[in-house]
Amino acid sequence: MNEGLDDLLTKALARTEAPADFTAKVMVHVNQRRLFMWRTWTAVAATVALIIAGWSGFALYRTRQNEKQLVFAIELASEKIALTDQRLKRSAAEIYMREEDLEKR
Amino acid sequence: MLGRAKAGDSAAFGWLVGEHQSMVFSITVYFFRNRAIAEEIAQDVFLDLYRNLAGIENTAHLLAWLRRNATNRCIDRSRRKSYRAEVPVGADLHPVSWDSSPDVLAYAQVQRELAALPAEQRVMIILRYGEGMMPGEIAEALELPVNTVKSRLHRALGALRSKLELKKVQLT
Repeated sequence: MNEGLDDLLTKALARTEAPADFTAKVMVHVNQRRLFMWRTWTAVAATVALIIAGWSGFALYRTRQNEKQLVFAIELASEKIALTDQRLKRSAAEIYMREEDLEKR
Repeated sequence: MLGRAKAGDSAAFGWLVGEHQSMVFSITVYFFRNRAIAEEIAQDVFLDLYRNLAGIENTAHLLAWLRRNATNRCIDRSRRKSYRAEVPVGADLHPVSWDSSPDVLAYAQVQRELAALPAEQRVMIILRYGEGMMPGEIAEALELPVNTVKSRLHRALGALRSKLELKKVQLT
């Protein structure tokens, strides 16, 4: 009885062929996936390159801006020092002249 | 060939598909008794293989992987959706006609009764008799205890036998 059922099941469930175009259909999906993956990675690489380029450009811009601000600050400081120097010299001359006047009197 | 496929050789992967498609398709088609659903799931199995090719170690591992993936997908699909609603009327794998031999009629009856079994039992019968696997091999492939496999097989065979006897299918 068991052998009969075993035999019947083995024959009823014998390997059956897949449709003739099965491999071709799978390969179409595989190639689509490959293309999708290639496009995805290309897009990711392009985005990363764009971010790096943008960041580098921004860093360069910031460096130049900092340089300009530094130069401007130095120029401003040197102008103020020159102005202070002039005032000091003028004050010193006035004090000298006042002292001379006092001595003459 | 597996090594070449893993290295990205598309033709080698195509060869692997051609070599194992009848095994995967047989599992899915006897599970669902519907060629369209079976083909769709078998294709998904091979696409999944393509994605996971790097993890396949050798041919034996490939066979076990394909069987496990196919059976798991069948069970998942049968749980997820009532596939019975999709089975067209008269969708027998071996269409029977008035002049079909008694054997063909019996095979068709076996397949019909098999499709009525619970998914977990159906898988056991397909792997045991369709793929010729021993209970230990099935347990290893499906990562189940051997006793679970044996008890499911026993229950499935009992259910099949009583149904076939009821339909007066010759079992001896």
